[in-house]
Amino acid sequence: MIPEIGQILLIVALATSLLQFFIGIGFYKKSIINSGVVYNLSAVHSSALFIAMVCLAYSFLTDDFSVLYIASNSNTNLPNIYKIAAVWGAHEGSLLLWIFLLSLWGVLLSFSRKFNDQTEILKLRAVAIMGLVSFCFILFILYTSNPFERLFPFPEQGRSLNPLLQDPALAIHPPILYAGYVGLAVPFSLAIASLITINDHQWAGIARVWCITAWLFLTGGIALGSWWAYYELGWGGWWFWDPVENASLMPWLVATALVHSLVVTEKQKLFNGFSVLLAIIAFSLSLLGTFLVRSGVLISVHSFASDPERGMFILALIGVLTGGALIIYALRVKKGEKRSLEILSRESLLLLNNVFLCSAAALILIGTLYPLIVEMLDAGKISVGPPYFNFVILFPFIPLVFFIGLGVFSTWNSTSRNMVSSIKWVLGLSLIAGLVTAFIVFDYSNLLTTIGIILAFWTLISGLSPIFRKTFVFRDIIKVLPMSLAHIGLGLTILGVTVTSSYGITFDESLRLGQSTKVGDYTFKLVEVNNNKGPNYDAKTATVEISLDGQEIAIIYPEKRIYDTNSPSMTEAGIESSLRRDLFVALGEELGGNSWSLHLQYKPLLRLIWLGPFIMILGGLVRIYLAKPLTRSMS
Amino acid sequence: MKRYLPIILFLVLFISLLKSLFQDEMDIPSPLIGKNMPNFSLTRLGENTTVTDQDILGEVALINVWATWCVGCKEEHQLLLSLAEEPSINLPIIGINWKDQDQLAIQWLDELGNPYQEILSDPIGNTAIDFGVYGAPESFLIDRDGIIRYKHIGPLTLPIWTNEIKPLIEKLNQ
Repeated sequence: MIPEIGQILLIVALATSLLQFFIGIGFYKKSIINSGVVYNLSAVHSSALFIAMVCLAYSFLTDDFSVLYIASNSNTNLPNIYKIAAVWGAHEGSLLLWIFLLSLWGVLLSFSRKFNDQTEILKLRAVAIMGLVSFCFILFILYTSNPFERLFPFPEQGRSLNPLLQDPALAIHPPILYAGYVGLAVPFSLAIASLITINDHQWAGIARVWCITAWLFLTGGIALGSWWAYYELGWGGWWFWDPVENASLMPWLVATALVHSLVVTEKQKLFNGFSVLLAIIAFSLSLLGTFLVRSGVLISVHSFASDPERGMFILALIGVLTGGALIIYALRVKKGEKRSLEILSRESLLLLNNVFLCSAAALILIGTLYPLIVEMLDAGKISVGPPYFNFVILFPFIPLVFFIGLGVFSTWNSTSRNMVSSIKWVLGLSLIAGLVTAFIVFDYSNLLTTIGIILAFWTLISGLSPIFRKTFVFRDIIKVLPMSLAHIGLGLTILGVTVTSSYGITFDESLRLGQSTKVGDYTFKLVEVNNNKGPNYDAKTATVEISLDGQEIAIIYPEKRIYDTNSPSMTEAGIESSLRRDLFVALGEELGGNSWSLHLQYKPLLRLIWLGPFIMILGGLVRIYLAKPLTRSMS
Repeated sequence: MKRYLPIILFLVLFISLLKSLFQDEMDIPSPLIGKNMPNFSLTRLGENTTVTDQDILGEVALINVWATWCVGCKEEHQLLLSLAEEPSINLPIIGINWKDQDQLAIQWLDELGNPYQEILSDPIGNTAIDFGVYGAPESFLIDRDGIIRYKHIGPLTLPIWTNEIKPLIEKLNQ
């Protein structure tokens, strides 16, 4: 009964989204009289989807294995918290979540602050376009991926959730990442709404805060995914250039460019066409990400569903939404006013860096789609995989990071006179801090590492400088805080990435019980290996003692888990972490004679890789606070 | 004209994605099938001795291109191990360790087991290019005379083995 209610609610949502589109787009009346109706429809639409998700969650909690989706992704032994997480643990449910979050963004946009009467039409049309996106995806769910499909005869016991996904970080990872993906639908819809209505720069002012919000979620989602891969996949790496990771990084890069481009469009009325295009590309890359993960066109660890029919459908959706958007763009975009750009003005530097960000996204796209592209062009002879990405990404990134620092000191419309004098000391300080780190704190390794460390400090210190440049007035400080925090976060991440990749130590060693080995300055001793039992798995738990200069500093317990289902064993790494360094042990195979193989790592400054995004998110939150998109305006 | 550029680029991408859906990705026809495998001379993993294409002639063999950074390689590893251990299957598996560090590769094999009769190290990827490798993992079946008879892109699976490779080997061994 409950699953049928969910099913009906999906159809209700389908109908409301279609109404939301038709009324909102103004087929009945050219005026905006109906705006209230459309906004309320979006609320009904979102509530229907929410209750549908609750129905699915309820069926999970009551172990209703007559539902195919539940029979394949849950069983009675699964802890309740993972039964709820299993709602979005596989393809059908995760799409439902995707659409629900999309509708939620639509509701937030509907009831957001009114700017002025002229831009009110933008909001209305944008909500209508979001209705259309929702409609397409609900159709997709109903036709190819219905989570409420019944199974007959139904089994006594379900098949259980993929053990890889039974992890707190992964339970919240998809909602956060998806919120970011679909959040990009808001600037997308506003851009199209602008093209078909007033067709000027005014959409940028509205879209900016939405874009930042979506960007926040993307940042959080990517960081969380990387952290999960680090401790759960058991390889101790934090980024694999896996298609699914790339699928989230590409929209992030373009969204970052969009955030900056929108500032120029809003404040200088420049680059309107470019901003519109970035908004279209950012959301399209989110759709492409969905396509790549779901269609099985590319192989990956993360993709849990693949089906050519679904791929076909998503591709058709991309064709309609992106293709349609780009046609509207081609027909409607106005030539921007010709204005000569000062080479070192803020708008030029922002444009330059947006081009670098887009190039980075393009290089990743080429690498990700490489097998398909080669086939098309018959071009061959480039190779793919981390060696490719690690190499090519440097080309846009090194100049990007250099100009980021420069941009902080620039001013609109002209080359800043004070630029040289303010840059002098920041550059000097970065050089000193970088060289000290590269030569004294760590030993000299190579030129690229040294450059990376100096650029990290350059980003960090130039990001900090606006806070200290002004006299300490809270009102002034808080205005520069979003940018400062974002740049400081980026600097920290670059520092972490550079130092960890250059000075980290990774190796495997077999140890007998009681034997120890050295990793850098640290001594790791394998004390014992015991059998343990968890709620739905059996585990072998090792006890590893870590000491530094004869002092014991930590005991960690890496585990190997065998879940009750027919699946390979899972590695739960033992990690001892501080801001300065991570020590990592993963338990490998038993080699006989009380001997075990262990995967050992020493990773200096690894935590900065995730601390950076956290600080970037803080910066974004301050920006949203300043914009207050949801408070009603006084006018 | 500039305004049409995005839609044109998009159409190119769209068509290539569409094409890839209709094509069974694992079955990209290789121009090398039916031809001699390329000449190569590579060092053995972790040693200073070299192996050339002439050294592996005489038997039907499986050449498997892999790397430690490749996730698909981990996926197919169990199957390769069971092929190597099964006495009724007499198939030498030659590994080409592609764009990898010897040190990491040796650890990987220590940890997961070694199914390879020979492992050749191709750190720069020149030989892989001659083989027309798209990405790792990739596998080639060569006959006694060194002619490439079959190519598979992506991880090997049991159905692929039983339905495609095994019958082919039986045919080649007749």
